[in-house]
Amino acid sequence: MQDKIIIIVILAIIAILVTLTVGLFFASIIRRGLHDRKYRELDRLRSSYRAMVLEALESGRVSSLWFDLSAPPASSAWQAIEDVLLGLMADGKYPSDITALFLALGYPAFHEKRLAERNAQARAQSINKLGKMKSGGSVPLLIPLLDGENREIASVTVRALGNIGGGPALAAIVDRLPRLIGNGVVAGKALETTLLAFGAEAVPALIGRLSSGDLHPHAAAIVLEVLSRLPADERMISPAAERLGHENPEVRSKALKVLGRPDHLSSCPDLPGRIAPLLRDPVWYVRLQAIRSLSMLKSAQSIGDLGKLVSDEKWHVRNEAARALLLLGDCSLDFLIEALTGRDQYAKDSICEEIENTNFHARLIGHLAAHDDSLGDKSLRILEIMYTLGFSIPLEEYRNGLRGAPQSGDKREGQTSGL
Amino acid sequence: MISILSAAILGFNYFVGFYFGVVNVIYSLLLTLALLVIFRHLKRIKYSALSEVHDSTQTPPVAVLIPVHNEEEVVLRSIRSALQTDYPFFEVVVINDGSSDGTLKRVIDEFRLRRIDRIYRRTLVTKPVRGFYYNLETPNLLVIDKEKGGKADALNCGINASRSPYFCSVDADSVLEKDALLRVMTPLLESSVPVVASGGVVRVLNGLLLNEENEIEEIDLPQNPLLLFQIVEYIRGFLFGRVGWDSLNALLILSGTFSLFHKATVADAGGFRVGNVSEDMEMVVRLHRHMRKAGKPYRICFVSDPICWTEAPDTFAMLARQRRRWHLGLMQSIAENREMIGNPRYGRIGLIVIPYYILFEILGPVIEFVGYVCVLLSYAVGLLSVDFLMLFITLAIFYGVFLSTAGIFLEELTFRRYPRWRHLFRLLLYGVFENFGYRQINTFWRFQAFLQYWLGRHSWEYVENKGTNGTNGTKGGAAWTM
Repeated sequence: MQDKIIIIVILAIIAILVTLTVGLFFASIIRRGLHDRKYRELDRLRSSYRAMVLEALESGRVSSLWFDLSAPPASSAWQAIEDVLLGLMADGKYPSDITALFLALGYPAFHEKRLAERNAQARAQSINKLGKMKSGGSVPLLIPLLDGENREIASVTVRALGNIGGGPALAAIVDRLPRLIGNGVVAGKALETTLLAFGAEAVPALIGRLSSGDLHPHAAAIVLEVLSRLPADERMISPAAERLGHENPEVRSKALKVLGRPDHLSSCPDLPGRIAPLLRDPVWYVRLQAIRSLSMLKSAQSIGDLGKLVSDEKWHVRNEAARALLLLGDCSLDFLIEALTGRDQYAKDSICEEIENTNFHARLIGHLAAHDDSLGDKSLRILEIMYTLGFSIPLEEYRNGLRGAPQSGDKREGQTSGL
Repeated sequence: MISILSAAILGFNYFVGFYFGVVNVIYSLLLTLALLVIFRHLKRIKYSALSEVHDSTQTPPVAVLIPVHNEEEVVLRSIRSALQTDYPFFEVVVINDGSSDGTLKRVIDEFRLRRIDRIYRRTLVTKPVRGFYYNLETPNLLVIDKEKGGKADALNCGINASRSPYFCSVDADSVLEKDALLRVMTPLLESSVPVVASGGVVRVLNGLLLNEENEIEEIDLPQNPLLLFQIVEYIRGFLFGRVGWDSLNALLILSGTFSLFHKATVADAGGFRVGNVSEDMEMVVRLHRHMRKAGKPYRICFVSDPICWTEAPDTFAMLARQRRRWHLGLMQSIAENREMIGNPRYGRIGLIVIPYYILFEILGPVIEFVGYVCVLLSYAVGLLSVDFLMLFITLAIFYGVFLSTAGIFLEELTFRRYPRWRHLFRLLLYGVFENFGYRQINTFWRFQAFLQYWLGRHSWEYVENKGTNGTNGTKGGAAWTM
C-alpha cells in the first residue's frame, strides 16, 4: 500500500512538472504569436497615423484630424495615436498643436481617470503620460500625489510636473522640498533634473524657498546647485553669499558655485574678495570650489593664495589651483616658476600635468619665438623644468618641430639643444 | 559490515534526493520572485526616467574600464562599441596589462594616439605604468600601458587613472548595447539609498552580426550546440537567478563583464583583489562586507534590461576552463570573506546568502556528481528501488527541463532579443537537451574545480578569445574573459 502511495506521489510530481513544462513551452509559442500580431498591427497603425498627423500639422489643418483620429480608449488605434503624438512631442514638433490634439481626443481625461486606480504602476504610467503630454490642466490633480506615501508615485509626479512646467507646478514642488528631500522621497539628482527643467522661471521661487530658512542643509544644497545651473541672476547673489558661512560644507560649496559666474561681477564687483577666504576652508571640496569660482571670475586678486594651494594636501585641490593659475595667463608665470623650483614634488607634478592638460605648453612655446625676452626666458625655464621632471613631451615636440623646419629662425633653438 | 555499508549508501542516496528537493524548492521560489519582479520592472520601464537621465546635466560621468591582455583580435571592436555608448558624459579607459602581442600597437595605430605625460596616482597599489596614450581627436579615450599584473590589477589601475565618480568594467571581448550604460545607471539616480554597484545582463555574442560601426545589425543564433546551451544558460541565470536574488537585496554576483561601481566606495574597500580568479564576485562580497561593517545604508542591484554581449567559449576545452575558473573564483571569494559566514553582523548576506552559496553552489556540484554515480550504482546493484530512481531522475533532470523552459518563457515575456520563430524553437529545444548531458558535464567541471581547490590549486586557467563576428583567426596568446 505504502509503495503504491509513493509511486502515485512520484507520478503526480512528474505529471505536474511535465504539464508545467509543456504549458510553458506552448505559452511561449502562443505569446510570441500574439505579440507578433499585436506589434505588426501597431507598427502599421503608427506608420499611417504619423504620416496623416504630420501632413495635417504641416498644412495647418489640425482640426481636420479630430475626427480621423478618434478611436475607442485602450484600442490599438488609441495606443498608436498616443505613441505618434508623444513621439512628435518629444521631438519638439508642433507642441501647442499636439497638446490641443491630445485634449480634443480625450487622452488627458482618460489618464486623469486612471489616477484614481488602486494599482500604483497603472497610476504611475498615467502620471508619466500626463507629464509627457504637457497637460497643464492636470496639474491640480497631480499636486496632491506629491503628498502621498508611495515614493514611486511621488517621484514620477515630480518628473511629470517638471515636464508640464508652469508656476503652480513649480510652486508645488518647491513648497514640498523639505519633505521630498528630507524624507528621501525623491532622489536628489532626480529633483535637481526636474527643477532645472523649469528654467529661469524657477529662480524667484527657489530663492524664496532658500530664504525661508526651514530647509534641511541637503535641500538647501540642492536648491543652490540648481541655481548654479540656471542663467546668472543678480537676485541669487545675496542668498548665496549669506550661505558662504553656513556650517554645512556642502551648502558652502554650492553657494560658491552659484557665485562663481562672471555675469555676477557687474552687480557685485567685490565677489572675489568675498570668495577668497574660503580658499582656506578646512574642507577640501569647499577649497576646490572656491578655486573654481575664482577661476571663473578670472580674478588675479587672489593669485598669492592660489599659488599656496598648489601645495595643498589634496591632489584635486592642487590640480585645480594649478589650472586656475594657468587660466590667469602670463601673470602667473612667476608663481609657476616659484612652485616648480620649490621642494614640493606634488605641487610640481600637479603644475606640469595641468600645463599639458590645458595645452598651456603651446602658449609657452609660442613665447619662445616671441620678441618679449622676459616672457620667453620664463617660458623656457618652465619647459626645461618640466623636462627634468619627466614631462618631456612638450619640449621634445618643440625640438622636433624645429628640426622639421630649420629655417624658422627661432632665437632659442640653440638653447634647448643641450637637453 | 555489508549491511552497515548498504545502510550508509542508502542513507546517502536519500540525502541526495532530499538535497535535490531542497534545491528545487529554492529555485522555484527564485523563479516566482523573478517573475513578479520582471513583470513589475517591465511596467516600470514605461515610466522610467531614462530620457531625463540622458538629457540631464546632473547625470554623473562614468568611466568605462576595459582591461586588455593579448586581445588584439577583439580590442578595437570593444573600444569602438564603448565609444559609441549613448551616455551624456563618459570616458573610456583601456588598460593594456602587459600584452605580449600587438594589442597596444593596434589601438595606438587605429586611434592615432600619442604618448602623453600624466601623473599616475597610486591610490590603489598596482604594477608600474609604462605610459599613457591619448589623442585630442578622441578626447574621451585614454589608453594606459602597464606591466602585467592580472585583470584585478588592471582594473585598479583604471580606477586610479579615471576621473569619473563611477566606473563600469567591461571585458575586451564584449560589445555594449548603445543604451546599456544609461540603463544600468538609472537605479543609481532614482534610488534614495546610495547604490554602490549595479550590474546588467550579459548575453552570448557569438552568432550576432555586427556592422562596421560595431553596432548589432542582426541577432541570430550560432550553429554550435555548445554555444546554444550557453545561451539558454545565460538567459536562465540572468533572468531568474540574479533578478530573484536582487529582489531580496541579497545579490552576491555581478558579472565583471558588465558592472557599474561607485569608485570611491570600491577604493575605500581596497579595490579589486589581485590573485582572486573571480575578482568581480569577490569585489561584490567585499562591498557588502565593507558597507555593513561601516553601518552605512547601501544597495547593490541588478537591472534586467541593459545588455552587454560577450563572446562565449566554443570548444569543450575552453568551456571547461572557464567553468572551473568560475567555480574556483566562487570558492576563493567566500573563503577570503569567511568572516561573514553565519555572522549576524552582516545581516541576511552573512546569515542566508553566503551559507546558501556554500551549501548549494560550492558543494552542489560535489553532491550532484557523487549523487549521480551513487544513485545509478545503487540501483544497478539492487540497493535502490525503481521508485527512488524515478524520483531522483524527476528532481535532477525533469525539474531542470522545467527551469530551462521557464527561463525561455521569461525571455519571451520580457525582452525577446531573439526575434525569429526559429530562434524560439531552437532555444526551447536546447533548453530541454541541456539537461541530458551538458548540465552533467558542467557539474563534473565544477566538481573538478572543487577538488583542485581542495588540493591547493588556486591559480586560474586562461580562456582564448577568437574574435568572431568580423575578425579573423585566433590569438597568439591567452586572454581573459568574463
